[in-house]
Amino acid sequence: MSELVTSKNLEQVIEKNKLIKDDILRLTNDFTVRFNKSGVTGQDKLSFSVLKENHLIQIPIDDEYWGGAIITKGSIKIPVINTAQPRVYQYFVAWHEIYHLFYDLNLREETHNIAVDMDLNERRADYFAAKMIFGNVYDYYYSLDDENFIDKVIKCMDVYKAPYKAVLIELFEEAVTKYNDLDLKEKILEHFDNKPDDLVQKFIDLELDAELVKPSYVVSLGGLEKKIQSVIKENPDVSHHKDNYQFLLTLKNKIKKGVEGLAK
Amino acid sequence: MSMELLFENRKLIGKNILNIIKDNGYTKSSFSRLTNISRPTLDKLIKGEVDSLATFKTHIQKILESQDMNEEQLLNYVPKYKTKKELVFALSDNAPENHALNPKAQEMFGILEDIVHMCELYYN
Repeated sequence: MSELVTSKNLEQVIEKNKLIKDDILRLTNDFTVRFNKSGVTGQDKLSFSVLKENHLIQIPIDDEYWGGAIITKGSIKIPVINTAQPRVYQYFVAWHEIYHLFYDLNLREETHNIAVDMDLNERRADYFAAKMIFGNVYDYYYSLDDENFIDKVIKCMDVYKAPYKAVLIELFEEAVTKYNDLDLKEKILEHFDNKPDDLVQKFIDLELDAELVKPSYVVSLGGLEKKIQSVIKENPDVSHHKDNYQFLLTLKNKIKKGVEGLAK
Repeated sequence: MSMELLFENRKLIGKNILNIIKDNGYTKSSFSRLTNISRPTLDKLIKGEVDSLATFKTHIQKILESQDMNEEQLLNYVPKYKTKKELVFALSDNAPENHALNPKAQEMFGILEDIVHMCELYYN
């Protein structure tokens, strides 16, 4: 479980980030070289396309805290994203899970019993996500001429497709470690625990696309349907593949019924 | 070998049934349809929690017939499937300690578990 970041532990989070920064920047470079050979430019598209190559399951789960997971079973690792959460969280969670999928030593089968500092491990995943998502958010923030702090933060959310707190953490880090910007630091601490509860309306008021702060409710079973179909084609006499396929369709229908309930 | 002996060892029989399911590429649900045993009863069989000998006999007989096995083979079943340490990571979860999942979310996690089990069957 990730540590919940609040205004009280924000400074500690920045201290932890300092410890892991070099390591994480090395991984973000490694990721770009190894996994973005097609030169995909949208960070949100890139993370999902990489996860889809690894059988990403997208499923709406009616829980405000559960963002996603890498489920390991036997020798396989399956990424899962909760599409009942606003898209902006999904994008962040996607990068978080990519860290675990490719770089988390604790999830490598031969080593997953080694003792790791779980809090630090989760911080690493969050920091990796932040470094994949953000460019120079500090400069962008100051390039905006809005007088209202929250409006500026929302515009940063829109441009970087990043959650409210992730924007504030990134800004806080720059303000503290690079620019000694005490005014911004104070503003962030003042607003950190009070995320606006009407983000959709605020996006609309600022003439931004509010879809970003709404759930997508996408249902995708990671290509499993096609896989079973091809196995059935190759082995037409094996009845349990057909049975499994029917069962999968039943599950998919159940999920879709669940979506209808959630989307109302 | 008597059915009573299997009944006495019903916990072990339950484990063996689960291994048969995994070894042959079934899900619990598809196996339940194949053997005509309801899913809740199959779960009880797997957990070794069927307390009535008559019920146990009826259902074990269905499994033996579907797998073309006898009692001895079921009792001494050696799994082909090598159980690996399973690990579930719910990593992006900031829930407070006292947070409880609502029934809809619980149901969806149940569905997710079934899907992941199928992934294991078809992606390995």
